[in-house]
Amino acid sequence: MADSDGHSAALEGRMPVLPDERIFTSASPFLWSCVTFGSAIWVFMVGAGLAQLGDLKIVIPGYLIGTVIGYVPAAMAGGFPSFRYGLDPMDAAKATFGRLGAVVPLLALIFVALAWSSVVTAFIARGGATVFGRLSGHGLDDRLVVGLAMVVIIASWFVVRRGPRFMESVNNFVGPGLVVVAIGLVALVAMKYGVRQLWNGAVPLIGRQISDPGLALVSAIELGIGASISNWPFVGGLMRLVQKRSHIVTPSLMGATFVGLGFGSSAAAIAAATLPTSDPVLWFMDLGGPVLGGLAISAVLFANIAVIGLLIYFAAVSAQQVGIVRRTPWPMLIAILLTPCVIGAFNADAVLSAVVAIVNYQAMIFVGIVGVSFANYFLVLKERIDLRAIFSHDPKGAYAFTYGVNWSAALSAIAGAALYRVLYDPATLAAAPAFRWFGASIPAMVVSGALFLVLTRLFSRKVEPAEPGQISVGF
Amino acid sequence: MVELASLEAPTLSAEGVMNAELERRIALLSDPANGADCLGSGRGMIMEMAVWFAFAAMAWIALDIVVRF
Repeated sequence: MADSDGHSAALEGRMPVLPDERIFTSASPFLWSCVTFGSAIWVFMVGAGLAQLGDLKIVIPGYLIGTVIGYVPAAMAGGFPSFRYGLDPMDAAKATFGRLGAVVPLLALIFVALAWSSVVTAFIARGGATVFGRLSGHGLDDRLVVGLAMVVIIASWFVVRRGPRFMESVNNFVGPGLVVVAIGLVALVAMKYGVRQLWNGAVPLIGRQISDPGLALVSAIELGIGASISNWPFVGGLMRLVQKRSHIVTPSLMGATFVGLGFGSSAAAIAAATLPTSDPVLWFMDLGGPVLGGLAISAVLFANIAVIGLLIYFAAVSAQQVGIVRRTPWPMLIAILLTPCVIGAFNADAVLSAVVAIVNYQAMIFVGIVGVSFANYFLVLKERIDLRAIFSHDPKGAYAFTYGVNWSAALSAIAGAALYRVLYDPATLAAAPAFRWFGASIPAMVVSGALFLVLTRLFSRKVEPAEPGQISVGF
Repeated sequence: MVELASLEAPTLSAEGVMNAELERRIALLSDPANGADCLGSGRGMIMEMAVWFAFAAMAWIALDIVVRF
């Protein structure tokens, strides 16, 4: 029964949502859902990486600026079409990339979901082993890390198999709970080291990745853009459940960027600049005491199994757009998607040290997709989508393109990612001279959008309205 | 991401039911005359986003000037 619950809920979720079915009828529940959505345990790890970039008074404002600059185009390109037509983000992407070309953003979404589920698995396992090692006096045991990771993965499989409702109810406490934990972290640092430390803190020069303050600012902005631009596939999933235009922009932006992503990462950056370690688990044990701090962080860690569940569930729902995946039994599909977490379990330290690189790779993958989607929805389609064509199998339909792929969109998105890589290396943070002025994401978004408009003008074709009787959910 | 699939939608047990339900939803959501708030002009939302983006861009420029000089 659990199988069919999860499977049918996944299919139900892809129907266009009618205005009177939408659950967010006022601003505050939508704001809190965005806070929940933005607050995940990895914001602490992103914050620890942020502190390595330079002085807090430069990198924290830079990061907050970046979250807004990344969120605005991502929400407009990914969220506005979903809000208007009640569409699942992957269905909306078919208007840009084509019926089969939507595999491009689908793979990007799955990359993000699997990367973060691996990170959270490694974080929970390593954190649990750290707490046990500290309390027992035996130090960190690598076998315990692997063992805990396996327990987390099996627990995640059972959680996802039960369907989304359990994960949603747990995550509705985890997100706001992490905001409370971040407030507690800032308060403990202020009480122990003084209020001035919140603003004047800095990692010693020898521990920094960048010594130039100007470059540190732009790198912090890029980190913020990378953290928020990956909202592109997820924000549409929330916005399609909102009823009124007046609730769309500010609640989502405040919840997902300033409170969700921004506050947690800033609190973590302050702690990383103040305490002698960049491990969030040790911050709590040092500041709150080994027993109380250890128990508190353990509760936070294991509650995040629901976060892994939601990420895997979201990846599974989206992957079901592909016919062969749709025919795969739900428990088997969940097991396949949890495989990267197993790999992460045996390489926990490597996974956790790659958090900043993952955020930057997200930016590299999504800048082109966002630039093209933005140009298509606002400048080519003029905010009008042919809903019938989205679900149509008609080879002459508006979004059938050539062999189901809008090659102009796919090539432009790839060009955007390539330009990002030329300007900025996501792994080593090595930057081209032009990066100092505009970063990498904005030029890549603009160039991919402009290239898409040129290619569309050169190769666009006249399309026929989709015929009745040929529509269905999926690719 | 949260509450993604929590709306009540018809059962998708048969392809005929799915297509009929899709047809009904497409008709309702394709017609701006049905008066739904989401189907109105997106100009206000665009302006609101533009204000936030401009605010962030100005903050970037101001911070850049402070850091460089």
